Amino acid sequence: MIALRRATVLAVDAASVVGGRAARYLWGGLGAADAVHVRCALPASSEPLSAGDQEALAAALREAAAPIVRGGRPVVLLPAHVGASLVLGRERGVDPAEHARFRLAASLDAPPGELASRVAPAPGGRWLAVAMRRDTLASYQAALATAGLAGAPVSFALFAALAALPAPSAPRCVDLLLGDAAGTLLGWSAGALASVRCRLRDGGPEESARWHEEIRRTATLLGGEPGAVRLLGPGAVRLGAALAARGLDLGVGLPRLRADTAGVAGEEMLWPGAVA
Amino acid sequence: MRLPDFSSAPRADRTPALAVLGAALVLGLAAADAWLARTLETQAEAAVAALNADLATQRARTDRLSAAARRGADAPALGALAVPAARVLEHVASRLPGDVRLTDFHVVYRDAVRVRLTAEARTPEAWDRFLAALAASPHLRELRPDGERRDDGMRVALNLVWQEAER
Repeated sequence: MIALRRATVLAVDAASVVGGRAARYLWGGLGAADAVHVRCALPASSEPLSAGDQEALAAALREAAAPIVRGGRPVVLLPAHVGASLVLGRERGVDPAEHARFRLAASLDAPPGELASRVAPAPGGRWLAVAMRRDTLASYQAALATAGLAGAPVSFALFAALAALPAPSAPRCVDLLLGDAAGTLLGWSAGALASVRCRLRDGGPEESARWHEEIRRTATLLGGEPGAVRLLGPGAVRLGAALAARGLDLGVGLPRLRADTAGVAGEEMLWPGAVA
Repeated sequence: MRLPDFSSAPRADRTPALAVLGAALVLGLAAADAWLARTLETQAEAAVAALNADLATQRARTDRLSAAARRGADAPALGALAVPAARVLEHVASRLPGDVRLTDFHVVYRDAVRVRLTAEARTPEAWDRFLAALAASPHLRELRPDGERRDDGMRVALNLVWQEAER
């Protein structure tokens, strides 16, 4: 397979740090290889990491990076619960990143000037915007520096997933992007990204029922039943089976992913899209 | 799509930018003020120059009028000449016979009130009656025909002088 681009990725989440190599191939599709899974418990919060959490994260990053980082700087992905996200329309004369800081300040309990925000173009002429507190960003960057990864690009797994997912063909579609501590629901209407909602996970026997309700609620906001549902991220295979039993049409239009990661299914990984 | 990167997010401290903006604003206002002052100064200089030119013109006119006044010291007072042209015309017209009509009429106020008129008479006899009527007027003197053309009727130009006091 001829790769157009390759990247080394370190995906940080509330319970783990996953390292791996991602590739985008010439004939389309993504590749994921050499995945390293390191357990690391971090608070599922948008608050800054404590000194102890920074030390724990630095240790996990060192362990995950050791077998895969050969010079250069890996891309570090943060989980959705560290920041807040929003879908914006494109308006002339409006800076979407600044608009996002203004809109998301209340969600992150900080003034807009204390937020960092980034946007990515989304299908349908929209912006997917993510904002996080600057002191939280600084605490993660301090952990990176401690792990010898100072200056590494920092992004969000949400952006990587958006880059990997093709626009759905169904009139209404809901994507559930799972993380260790939270799940993000992307609502699509007529091929355009229409909404983004983030909910904390609550593992247990009733988790599939709760996500079923959240998916239906997201689709209702789009104007009807979900035509299709796509799941990505840790636990997607197990949760997908439970949701399929509830009658949802799952897995239509997932990214083509060639995974060589010791038995981990491609649907369980959000990070390969970071190569895009 | 390039993945958005938060690691290069700058601090949202806009104090230097605001200071530079403020300084630029002050400089801009000062420059605009200076330009406005210079424009007003130029306009004032131009107004003074125009006023001086007008003053010189008026002074020259005053000089000319004073000289004319000195030259005309022996001329009749303006009050003696101030007979309305309408009154002169009315007086002349009241003496027109039925077969004579005025075609042109000028009143010139100079050293005297001079009248130049042109009239058309249907017959020479009618013109003679008009001349006799004018000659009999107590206000008109120095009647001088100035050009006479006879074809079907008569077209005659006539100069005369108005005299306010009755003869």
